Amino acid sequence: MLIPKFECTEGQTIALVGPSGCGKSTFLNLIAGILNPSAGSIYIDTTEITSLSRAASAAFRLSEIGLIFQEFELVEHLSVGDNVLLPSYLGTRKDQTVIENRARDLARDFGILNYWDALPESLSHGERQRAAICRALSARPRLLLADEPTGNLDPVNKQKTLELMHSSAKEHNQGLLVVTHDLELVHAFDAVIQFEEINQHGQK
Amino acid sequence: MRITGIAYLSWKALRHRPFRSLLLIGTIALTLYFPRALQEFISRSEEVLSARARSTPLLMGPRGSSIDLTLNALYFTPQELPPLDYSSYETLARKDLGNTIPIHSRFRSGNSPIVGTSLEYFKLRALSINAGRLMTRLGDCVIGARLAESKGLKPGDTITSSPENIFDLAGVYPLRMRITGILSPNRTPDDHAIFVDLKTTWIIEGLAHGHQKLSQAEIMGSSRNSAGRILRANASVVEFNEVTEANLGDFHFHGDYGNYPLSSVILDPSDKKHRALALAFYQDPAIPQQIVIPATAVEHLANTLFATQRLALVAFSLLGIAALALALMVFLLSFRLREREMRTYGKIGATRLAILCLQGAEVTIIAVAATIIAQIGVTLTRVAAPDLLTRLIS
Repeated sequence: MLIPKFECTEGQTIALVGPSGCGKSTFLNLIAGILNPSAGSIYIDTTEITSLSRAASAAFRLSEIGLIFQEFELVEHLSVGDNVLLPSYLGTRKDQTVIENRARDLARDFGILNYWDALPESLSHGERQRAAICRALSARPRLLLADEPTGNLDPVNKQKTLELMHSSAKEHNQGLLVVTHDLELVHAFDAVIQFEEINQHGQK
Repeated sequence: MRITGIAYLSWKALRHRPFRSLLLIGTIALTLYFPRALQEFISRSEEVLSARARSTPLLMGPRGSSIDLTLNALYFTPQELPPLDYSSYETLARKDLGNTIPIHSRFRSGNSPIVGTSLEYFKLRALSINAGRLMTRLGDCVIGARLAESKGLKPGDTITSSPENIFDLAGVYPLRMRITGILSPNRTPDDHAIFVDLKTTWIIEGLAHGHQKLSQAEIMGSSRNSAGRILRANASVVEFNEVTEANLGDFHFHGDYGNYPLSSVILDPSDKKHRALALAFYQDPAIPQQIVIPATAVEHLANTLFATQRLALVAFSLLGIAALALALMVFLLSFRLREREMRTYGKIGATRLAILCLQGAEVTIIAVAATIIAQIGVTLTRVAAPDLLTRLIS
């Protein structure tokens, strides 16, 4: 993978499309600091995350980046509420009551507050993905990264999930970068980028 | 990393699999409990045995195992040694070496020992009456506090001795005894015992008995010879199985008192000199009795117990290592099965340290819970050791 330059501004929503195996998910993992590039730098605002230690990078991700996965990745033994609050349990923030109230508001907005104490297994696919989005948004990140967030959803839930992500990004001025195969849904994004356009590997 | 958050997540993971968590806690708790409890039990037992032994200065009984003699006199265990003649007691008493207290503890009522003795026994053991009074006549008994509590007995009730063998028609018959008093609890075997006068145990043994007067005309089948002077009792003569005010005078003893049986005699010497004399007298191998220092006998017993404890501890340690290895394997397998969950934590932003802490917290919660349970068990064992010891050896 060779990416000379890529930018996402505050509040901008970008859909990243491309064939399977072209490196879209790897690209998201690089931005999230889960993987390190062999060369070059990645900045989020003024922070060069590629120069951070593994622990600092994790802490940065916890507070500044919200991640949404295709398989939801909810923790099966935690209730929906605990899953939403997971970043706060793993982080260092002390204002737990404020965080919990905000998370409940978020869950209400996403229509899953009734399932707050339920285990994820009792939720439908759409509800699980909404819980996963709530988890990603609960820490008020500056950047939302979503890897095929609608891959396992029916058309109604696909639309609803994307709308929720968009509205949150606009409302909180968050950058939103979504990897998707679903070309029918990409028209709502500010920008749609073919991954091959930014990845110049093999083009030299 | 929030410690409370990590602990909360660990707690949730453990609660989600309660059977596995409880099994781990139980396994680790038992692994910790057994060796500690065994040590505590033996150590406490040694203290309790020694305390009772020290309060029994000397013990005279038939020759044989000094430990059997001591345990029978102190804990009323079933009598293993042959009986002692009452004349041996009289011989010792006549020497005027100190206070002599006869003990006859062959019989039982259910699981409770019936101890024939004299009132001096109560003084020696500093036993006080909590309700009622001491026994005053044949057939009366005073019972221990725990026995009274467990069976709901009070002064005025009765308790019956158990026959030794229901198929032995000529053997020991049950005697219904009147309870005159309940002792205050003192957490010794006395709490479970039934104390009677020595002569009452001889009635149970059949050496003394009471029956209808043979001269009564209404006794069917009683006969006179041709001269009309000799009475021959037959099976129609009613034998009393309870001593009452009305039939007290009809109880009588047959044979020579000197041949009547005892289990042992407690000797409380007047001073060191009399103690030395008593010890010296029974050193003569020609004398069929022995004198035992209970504290020394208990010390021998304790040494045997400690030797056994060492073997048991080795066995427990090996079992413990195996159990802990098994628990460790369960933890490792569990974390392996939850690898995806751990990866999710990492993706969200948990550091490696936080994930290690999360796993460590689960192990710690299990270990702390197991340790607390084991400690409670050990404490309870220590508290219950005196009663448990009494039940085990009597």
